[in-house]
Amino acid sequence: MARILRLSLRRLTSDKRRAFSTGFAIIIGVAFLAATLVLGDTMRAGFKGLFAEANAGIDLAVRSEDGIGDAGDEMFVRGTTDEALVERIRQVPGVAAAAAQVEGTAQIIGADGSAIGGGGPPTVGAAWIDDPELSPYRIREGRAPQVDGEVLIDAYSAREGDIALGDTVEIRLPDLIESEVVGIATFGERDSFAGATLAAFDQDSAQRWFTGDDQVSAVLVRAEPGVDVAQLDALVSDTVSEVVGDGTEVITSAELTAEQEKAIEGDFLGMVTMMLLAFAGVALVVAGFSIYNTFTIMVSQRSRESSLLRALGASRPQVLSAVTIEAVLVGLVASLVGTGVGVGLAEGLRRLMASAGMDLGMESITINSAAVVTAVAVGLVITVLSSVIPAIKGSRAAPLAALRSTAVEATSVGRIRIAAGVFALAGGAAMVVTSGQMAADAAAEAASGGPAMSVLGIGALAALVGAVLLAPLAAIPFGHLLSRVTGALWPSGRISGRLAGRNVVRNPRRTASSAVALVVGVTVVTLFATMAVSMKGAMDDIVRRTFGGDIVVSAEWGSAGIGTDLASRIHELPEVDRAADLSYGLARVDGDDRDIVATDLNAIAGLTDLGVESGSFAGAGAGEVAVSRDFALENQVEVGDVVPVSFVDGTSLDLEVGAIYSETDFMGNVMLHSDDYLPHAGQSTVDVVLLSVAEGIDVSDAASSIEAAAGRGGPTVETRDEFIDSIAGEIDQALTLIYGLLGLAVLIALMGIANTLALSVHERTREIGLLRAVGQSRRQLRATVRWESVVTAVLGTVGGLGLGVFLGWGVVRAAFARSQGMDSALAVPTGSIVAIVVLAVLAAVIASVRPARRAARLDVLDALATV
Amino acid sequence: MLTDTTLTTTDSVDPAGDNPQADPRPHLAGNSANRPANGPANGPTVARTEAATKVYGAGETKVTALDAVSVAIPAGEFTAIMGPSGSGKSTLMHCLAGLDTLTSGRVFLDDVELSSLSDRKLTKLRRDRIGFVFQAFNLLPTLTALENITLPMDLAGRKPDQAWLDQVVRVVGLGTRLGHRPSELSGGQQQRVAVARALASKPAVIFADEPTGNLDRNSGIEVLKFLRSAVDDLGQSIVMVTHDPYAASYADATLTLSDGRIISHERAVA
Ligand SMILES: Nc1ncnc2c1ncn2[C@@H]1O[C@H](COP(=O)(O)OP(=O)(O)O)[C@@H](O)[C@H]1O
Ligand SMILES: [Mg+2]
Repeated sequence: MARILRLSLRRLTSDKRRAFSTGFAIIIGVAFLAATLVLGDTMRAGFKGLFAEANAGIDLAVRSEDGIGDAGDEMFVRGTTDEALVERIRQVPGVAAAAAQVEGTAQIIGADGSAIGGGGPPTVGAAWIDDPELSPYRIREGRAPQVDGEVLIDAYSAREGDIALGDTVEIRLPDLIESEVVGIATFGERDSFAGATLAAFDQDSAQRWFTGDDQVSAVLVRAEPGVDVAQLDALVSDTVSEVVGDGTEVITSAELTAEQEKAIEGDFLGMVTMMLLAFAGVALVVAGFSIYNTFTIMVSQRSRESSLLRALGASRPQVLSAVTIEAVLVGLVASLVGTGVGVGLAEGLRRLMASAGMDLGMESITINSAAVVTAVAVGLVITVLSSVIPAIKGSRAAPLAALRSTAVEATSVGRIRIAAGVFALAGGAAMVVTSGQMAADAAAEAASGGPAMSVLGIGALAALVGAVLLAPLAAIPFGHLLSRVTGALWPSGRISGRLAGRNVVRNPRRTASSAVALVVGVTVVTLFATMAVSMKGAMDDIVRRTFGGDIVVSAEWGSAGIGTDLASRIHELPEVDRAADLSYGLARVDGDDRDIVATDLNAIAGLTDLGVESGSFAGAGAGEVAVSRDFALENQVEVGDVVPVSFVDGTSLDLEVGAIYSETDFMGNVMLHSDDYLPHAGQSTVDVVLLSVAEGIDVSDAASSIEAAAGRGGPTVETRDEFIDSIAGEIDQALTLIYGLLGLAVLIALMGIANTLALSVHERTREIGLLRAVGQSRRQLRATVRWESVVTAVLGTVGGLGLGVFLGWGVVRAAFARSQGMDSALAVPTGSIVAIVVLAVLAAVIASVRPARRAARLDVLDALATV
Repeated sequence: MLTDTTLTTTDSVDPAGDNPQADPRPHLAGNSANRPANGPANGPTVARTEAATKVYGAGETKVTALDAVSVAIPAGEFTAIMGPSGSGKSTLMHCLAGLDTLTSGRVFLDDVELSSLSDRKLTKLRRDRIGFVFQAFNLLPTLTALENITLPMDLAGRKPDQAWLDQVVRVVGLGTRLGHRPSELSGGQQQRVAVARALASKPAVIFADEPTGNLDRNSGIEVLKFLRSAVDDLGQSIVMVTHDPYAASYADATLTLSDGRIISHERAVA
């Protein structure tokens, strides 16, 4: 064993370059994985620290048990609690202090006129809490707000918005108010709480805007020193049920912290890490293919050596273990290096975020042993698994067979492989096609689309596996095609093309597995591109079909909204003909918590075409509700039926179904009348105003008037075309990120091609000597290698493009079966396809540079003398 | 030098298939009468060296593979280079063919001095003016026999002279096997294809390094006869390195090397 180990080590050190390039694929994949895990842990630890700090002075929190939506979800709206509780809790023995927490949304407008923060971290509006332990905020300058017209802001907002003590600032609640900045506070030692902005008011003002008079968001309680919190919890609970009865809960600060951690995990961290992990997965799969290929070639090159070893008495397990040990060594070193690089990457990103002003409480990087072990183990397992198959094949070489054979050529592709490949590809394709129908059927019956998505996923995977198995078959015609193409394009290059083509064909399995790594990356890129283009097309189509107005005024995501005041001023502008406000919210409709849109049902009819199936929007007013066909099917309601709807403030209304419509893409399944919704929605707001412009008025003039009316830091005003463009722009933005991440997988694949190429060239040294002797110029030799690289890359790219467009079509069909018109919206991303092909060819040319140069440098006589 | 008796006694199977006692070497049958019996030819030369010296290594390990060799290879003849193993035969051939460079001295091929040529020009020279036949692995496994034959012309991007190609192909005698890959041909057939490739581009000279070294006797004779007929019927100049006296007996003249020096240059005796 020791001797075998020494042999493996010697092989590795004697061919450092190969060991390095084998390891490199794994290094990149593992680095990505480790960076994701470590950054996730670091952010988690950062938030944990921040939440713990925020809740440090609190022992108990008393708040409403109820809310609408899923608790822990970002959209969750919790009910309020009676203010009277505060005073009563103060009197509970053992309570040192109790304070009212009153919270809502408030956007501070900076000196430059734009709103500060948003787009992720919350923009908090609150009542200032005087108790220095119940509030994590410390006043740095000035004092607490005491009367209406005074505000205290966080130091981050003061810096970002260039606001000083004594300034008058505008704040969107969403209606604009003006307040004098009387204080600037820090969150503990920090300028802000993870980038959240704070506008704190006196309690009466805050209640008026956020919770309603006599209501509070929660009561925060601090125990006297030495008091047992569990006992106090019981006492407070008793008092609470005495005062307000059921429906109010008492939780400890530990529970509160845990809940906040879970919430940030659910709506931010979890999503980000899952997505990054998926990309790391793609990168690692691609790396696996590259390693498989490298080891296959290495084993075949060593088959002579192995045979010699076996002839000299080495057993099969010994020969096998020599390769496996090598794989373990490469895998271990590469995984360790990769993990190190990943940790460095995470640290770099942490610093980058810090220097960009994103203070997420990450003072230092958090390296959990679980993350390190996972990254190293995954890298090691992939390397070893990818090398075991070639190793087993290699160890099968009979003691003398390999010594006799010269050029081992496997032009044939196994029958079982073909059969399995055809089965997987055809079966997978059939499943993808079927899933679309399943999803459509499910949509028609308003049933869950889950099974369809599962069928789609399994089908996609099967198709990918089938393509991988059948790739060698495609390599053969491809190689021949290349010979023709080069001959037709330029006769002087014919011979280089022919030689390259023949090399591609001589070992189709190797060519294929080299190309397959690229197939995986390109498939995923194309899948996303196809989805994106199709979605853009569909959105365009939907907006044009359903929205008949001219202008869309929309509040930025995560902002305080448009405000009823501004909305009504927009309605009254002379340039505006018809207008309807939309408020997005939550309500319990017929027993289920649902996203709803509140609007003027009558006015919306003149601005949109929602595909009314029965009843009518026109004339519908307060007391009525419009529901989608899906909702009607699911809840068995018809026009004229009554549906119970309740709100976060506890009010319940019986609303009559006035219309049933089919277009759900913008309005969702339930539309309420604003008059029914806004009074019960807490801090009332309008999210979107749709409008049409009066006769004879230029749309862009009208847009300017609206912008002027909105004032500083106001909502976005877009014409219909601009609105469509901005949706497309958002999709493109998401796509850019995805492209960047997948580019990594493609890079690994191309390194794999370069690696395979280098090994193939090495294997053909003698042939190269012969070619050079009989008159092949260095240029021609380089061209041959280059062509080989390009054909392999094009093979992988074309395969990936085909598969990606097909799967993209499948996803578009299945995922959008519910939305009218999306199912037929498949668009082929021509631009992306051209770009991918051009990039692949360019990259293949670059990948071939080194192997080609090495081939061209070979001394003719030395090459000829190679066995 | 050569004894024909060894041939007739050991040559139990006549590859030509006719009279088992017939000497398969056609040039010995009578057409050598118009050539001098001894010494190098005085006619035109296709290649020559002037004090060609090749030294490998330095100091202790220094090996003088060629020691001031001056030799002229006559055009239109079949010249054999003989000598014991390590005597410098291959080195001389490589230097003559532009595959290797001299330490000192000069080599002329077609009256062109090779040391002055760039790699590009040397490659072009090898492609257009020289034919090669190596001991083994002469053919590209991915190309068919015919594609291997036309390879130098294809590399030059030039159309082969069809009439000439037909003639070469006819002489090579592969018939329908021309479309086959080398792996489907016997060793002798492979070497004949290699010779055909060397011939097809009408080079000034063909260099063959132990072309029969890896072949059984019968296949070897096929190849030697093929080389011989190339000289006789097509007027090709050929230089063949061999250490087999029987193979050398097919040549018009034999150059013998020992320790990097020419010890004899004799014409074959009939
Ligand atoms: N590349 C080389 N490096 C060092 N010595 C060499 C090299 N090639 C040949 N030699 C030496 O030069 C001498 C002549 O070699 P060679 O021409 O191959 O002989 P032959 O072909 O007659 O057997 C031998 O002693 C050989 O060891
Ligand atoms: Mg030799």
